[in-house]
Amino acid sequence: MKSMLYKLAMTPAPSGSEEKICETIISMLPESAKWEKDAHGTLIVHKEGEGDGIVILTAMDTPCLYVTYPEGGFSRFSAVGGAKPSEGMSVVCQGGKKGVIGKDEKGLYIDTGHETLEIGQWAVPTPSLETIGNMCFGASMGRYSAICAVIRALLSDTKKDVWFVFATKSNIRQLSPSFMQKIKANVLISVDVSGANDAPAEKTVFAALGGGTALRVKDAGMISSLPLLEGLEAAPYKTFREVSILRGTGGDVQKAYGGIESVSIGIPTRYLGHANEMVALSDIENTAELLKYYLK
Amino acid sequence: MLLKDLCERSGVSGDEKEIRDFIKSQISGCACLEDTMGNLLVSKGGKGKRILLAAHMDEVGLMISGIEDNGFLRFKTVGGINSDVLLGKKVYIGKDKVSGIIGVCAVHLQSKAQREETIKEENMYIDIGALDREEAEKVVMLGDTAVFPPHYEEFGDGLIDAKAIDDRAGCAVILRLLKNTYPGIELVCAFTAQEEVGTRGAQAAAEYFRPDYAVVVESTFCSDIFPTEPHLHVTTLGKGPAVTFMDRVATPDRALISSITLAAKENDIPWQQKRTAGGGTDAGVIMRAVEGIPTAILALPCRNLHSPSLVIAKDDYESLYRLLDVWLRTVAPSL
Ligand SMILES: [Zn+2]
Repeated sequence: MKSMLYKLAMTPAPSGSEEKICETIISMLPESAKWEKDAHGTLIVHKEGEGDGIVILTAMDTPCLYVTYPEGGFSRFSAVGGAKPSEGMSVVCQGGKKGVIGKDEKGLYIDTGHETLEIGQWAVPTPSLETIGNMCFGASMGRYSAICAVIRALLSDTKKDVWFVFATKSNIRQLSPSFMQKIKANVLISVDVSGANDAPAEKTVFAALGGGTALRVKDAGMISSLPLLEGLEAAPYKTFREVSILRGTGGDVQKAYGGIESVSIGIPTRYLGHANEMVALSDIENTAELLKYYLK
Repeated sequence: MLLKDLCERSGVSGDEKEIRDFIKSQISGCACLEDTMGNLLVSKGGKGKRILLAAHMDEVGLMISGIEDNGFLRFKTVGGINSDVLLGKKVYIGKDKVSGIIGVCAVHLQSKAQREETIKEENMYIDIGALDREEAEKVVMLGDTAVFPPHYEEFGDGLIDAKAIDDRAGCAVILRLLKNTYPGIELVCAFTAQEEVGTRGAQAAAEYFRPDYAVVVESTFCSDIFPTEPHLHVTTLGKGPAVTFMDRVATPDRALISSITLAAKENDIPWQQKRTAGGGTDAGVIMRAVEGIPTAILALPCRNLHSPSLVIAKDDYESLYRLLDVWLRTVAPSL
């Protein structure tokens, strides 16, 4: 699993420019996999099987920066999708140029030394993956972990009819649910990133790294179907309930085209949107196993 | 003059009849449909890829929300108007264009704290000179919309100052294009309603036409004024129409954008990039309609957006027209 996570984490996946991460995901699919991309770049993988269809949804994009005002080697930018750039953070830019975030009295900029950037080019925190025992960290690790868990479930055996969907532009709230027109399903499991609150000063920890998979009763975009959530809760895996203030991926899809019974689950993540996010490898594993169990 | 005529008409979001009727009167030889959202949908016909040009015809304004016993009117803004620009302004209310002045409690009577904070819209009123409620109700009804005074003036070095340029300039460009013929494409146009209250009309328009490609013709922020720092100008007046790489609600189609900017370069038409990922237009709902429609946004740099007096450069307006004309003629047929 670590090598899969590494390969994902090394692929920049800025919101609005998901071509590369989509290629990486496709490269991980079995040769026989039936997949297609829609007009929004959404990757849809169908595993034909018995019974009513199930959608396993995750987003493949991460928070990022877009250059708005280059001045020589310094470029002002718009931070989108919840990116939290800070002085000293290193970034990789479109075309492979490297830079570091600097700050002056007018605000933040990307410093690319002698290189120049163009308006509309993206930058992401420098991709990396470090592990410390059960923990790992790197840029946008929460999102890459969710993708990893979904691919692991995709690679497992199932007799059910499952649609694995990797959506685009989710972080910038431009996810388009039109892929649902191609899909026949009556259950949606949205695999998201959940905020951990286990910092040392926290008084009441309810979402700790290593605690398993968050079952989101409610997030900022949707309310989960309770029977679905209780079904996952009854599985022999580590889960905890969460009321999340984050916007998941499922909200945009749940109500589309007549609506679909939905549940949102999440991998606990520290430092969302910052240069490095930290997750527990066991939580990724747990989430993958939970999905596999559901699809069995 | 077309742009002047368009800017002077009224059409606050949801109350677009006057501007819609005028736009319709300017179109001949095309099939026109007014849909339930209030859009005006125009089919030019032709064979080839279906290209949708969209511009919103509604404008920001006010809506009368209450009539006080003393004859003063309460109001709510429709669309994003900063209350800073309202005080002391004249407005015209309803079909009969009853004139009123936006006022606030006299400065002498305000507390220090009140004077220091920006005046909120709920502390302002419209004075129509009525003695009491009964007299006011004879000329104004709850729910009437109000617009800023119609005006159109050319000034300075090729600049235009008018009401409602956002987005009557886009409507004017599309109306001019509709007079031409473009072989090799099927041209359809939407003059959309209710953009300023959340791009509500455009979605229905896109679903109706189901185009292969769409171009949203808009007006956008230009803050190239002292004391704004250059990196926050977003666009620059006179440097050509602006192309959006991303905004709050849309990520325009990269290939479609390239086809437009290439046409600009090859024909020496000035253009610029919009330098922010903020703002929003009809493109957000159009690109997500049907199964996804590749969409581009071309916008006129416009100072004082959403105020009584908007300013654009005549050259930008002409460049926007020329760019779309040459693109429809030479590039669009081979998309
Ligand atoms: Zn506009």
